[in-house]
Amino acid sequence: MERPMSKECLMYKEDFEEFLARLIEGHSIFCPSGEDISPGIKKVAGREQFALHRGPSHFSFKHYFLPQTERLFSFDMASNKIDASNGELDDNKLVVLIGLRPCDAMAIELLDQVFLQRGPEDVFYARRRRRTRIISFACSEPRTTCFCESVGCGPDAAASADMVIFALKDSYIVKTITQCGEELLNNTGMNLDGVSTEKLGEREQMINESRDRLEKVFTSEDLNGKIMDFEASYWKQICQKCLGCGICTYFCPTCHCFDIVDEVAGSKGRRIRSWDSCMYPLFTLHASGHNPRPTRKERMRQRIMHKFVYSMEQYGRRFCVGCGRCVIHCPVNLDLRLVIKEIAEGK
Amino acid sequence: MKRVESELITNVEELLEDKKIGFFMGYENGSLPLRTSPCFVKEKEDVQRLVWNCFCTNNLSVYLVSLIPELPAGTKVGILCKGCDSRSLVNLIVEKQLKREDVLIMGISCSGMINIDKLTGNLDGGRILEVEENEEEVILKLDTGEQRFSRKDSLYESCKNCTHPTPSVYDILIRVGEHAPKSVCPDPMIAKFRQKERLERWQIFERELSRCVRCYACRNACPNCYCKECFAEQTKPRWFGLSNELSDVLFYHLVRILHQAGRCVDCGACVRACPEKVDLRLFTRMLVDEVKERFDYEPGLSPNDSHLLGVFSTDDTQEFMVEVD
Ligand code: SF4
Ligand code: SF4
Ligand code: SF4
Ligand code: SF4
Ligand code: SF4
Repeated sequence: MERPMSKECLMYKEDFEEFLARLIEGHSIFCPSGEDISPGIKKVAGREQFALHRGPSHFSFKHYFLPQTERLFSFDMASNKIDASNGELDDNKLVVLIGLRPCDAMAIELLDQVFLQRGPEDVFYARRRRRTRIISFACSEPRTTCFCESVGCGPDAAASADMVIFALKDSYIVKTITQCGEELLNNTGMNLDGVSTEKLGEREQMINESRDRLEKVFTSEDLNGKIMDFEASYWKQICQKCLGCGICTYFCPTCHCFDIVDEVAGSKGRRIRSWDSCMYPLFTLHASGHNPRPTRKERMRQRIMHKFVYSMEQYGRRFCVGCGRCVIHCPVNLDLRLVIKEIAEGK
Repeated sequence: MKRVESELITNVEELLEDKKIGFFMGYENGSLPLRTSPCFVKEKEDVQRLVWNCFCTNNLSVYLVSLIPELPAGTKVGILCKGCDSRSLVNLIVEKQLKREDVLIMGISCSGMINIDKLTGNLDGGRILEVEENEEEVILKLDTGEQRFSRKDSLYESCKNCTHPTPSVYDILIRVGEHAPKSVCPDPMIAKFRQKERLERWQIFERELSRCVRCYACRNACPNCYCKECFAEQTKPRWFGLSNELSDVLFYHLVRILHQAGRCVDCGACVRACPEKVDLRLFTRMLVDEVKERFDYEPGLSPNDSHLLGVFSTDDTQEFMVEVD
């Protein structure tokens, strides 16, 4: 969205702690919540609440930009009043998201396509997005479920990040990507050195090792060409053990479907939107009672084709960043990677 | 386990060959370490994919109600059932969702399923290369060395306190040790929970449910949840809101849980499906115990049983109707 400004400097462990402390002091910092509290991306009150996860965090950062439930406005029909104020968004204070992995940073780029760049802007998304700065961390230890490279991302991709941090053995390379990232670093008032060739070498090695560890169940070639066929018989096969829950879409950082309802009691009410999923029967149920996606076959086909075919037609991008969350959490271990591979092999 | 696996494979091969079944549901190795995945077999050449180990966690009875009408009429379905899975299946028969003659139950007397989280908790980034198990231990071979876990300590809660490890009903039984029925009532965890103050119980309820993301995996993994239209999806009327706020989440869970009274077999499938590790068993097992204590009833033991909620008896306890304090 803005002029690239790439600059790199080095932080030792103490510098990094100082950097975090200053960031937390001067900004609203959001990161994935720990296990004990309600799901989402939550505001960090102190250093101890921020920890890096191996690979992507449990919750994706979609929780921040598109909260599971959001009140759009409330109304009172008796007095004909609408209240669209939003305590959280009205102050426009800068928010820093920290702890994303490259896949999650790429997912935000994709959500931008949906909510900012094509068609009318989504007001709520836009307000959050514009006041947000993103600090991502390159991956040194992918999980066995990660396959970012197969879908055109990678352990050192910057994507939507304003600043990328490479955590080396005993130091950090901080790379500012955008002017906003540069400002963020300057605001902390840190005095930092440039990066020695030796450290650059260490980084290269880290990223190469990361790449080697990534699973390559399918390759980007498998996705080229017209691999998916709406009419194919394999959909029936693929959906067979799916339970039709919402896990794969709710945990996906790029899934963005929602439902809007008015909740009314007496003359007062509110309009809310809440996440929805194409894996649910209600998703396409018409008022007439007809459902164009009556079974799990059509629903599964929609999820996969939306990610790999329709999104290409619509945005020129695939809506999967290889984070592996759907693979990790699917209760019947229906592994998306194997599905792609089977389709590519024409099974 | 190799013995069990080859017994299983030989059985299924013969059944398919003799056309005694047209379809078999079991487990195959999953795509991730320590995971299996449901495996549906129609052809003899696929039988070799079947496995049996301490990670065969899904309750396969969940597929029966929707699957059978999709198969060519008269196809008999073979299904691998642990103790709990067989009780789910029997409960489906009692609830008239399934005919006994449509299924061939391959029972397996079960030593309990292992909670993966207990094994993966401190691997320190080591990669799992191989897994071995015997009656006492589960052994993980990692690229960083070997780790051994006591089987007894690593079981899922529902398996620790399983009352019927051997299937209640079966056509063929594969034996893995002796696993006689035992009585566990009340469940020790429930007994502890009941002793807590009301406020504390509420806080636990709240803490657990505030993690729920309303993905409905708990419902969809449960063989009892076969309703063509779940109350959670009805819109005319809509019984509760769409949000993930506590009041809506609570409503969903209270109704789902209450609908399990006299039906839940404590298989733990819902708990295992939950991506948020919500302790759903705290609520469902409570019901299991209440049903046992008040009515001396355990669901899924015989296809000839009457359904608990389908019977009125004049000596039923009724004190709950006037409970005040
Ligand atoms: S998470 Fe798995 S079972 Fe649930 S809808 Fe997705 S593919 Fe189906
Ligand atoms: S489809 Fe699965 S792997 Fe791809 S972005 Fe979504 S959750 Fe991640
Ligand atoms: S895959 Fe389904 S839930 Fe995800 S964005 Fe596409 S239609 Fe929506
Ligand atoms: S509620 Fe849970 S434990 Fe009870 S039968 Fe259903 S899946 Fe099994
Ligand atoms: S599986 Fe867990 S997160 Fe999903 S609806 Fe059930 S309790 Fe909630």
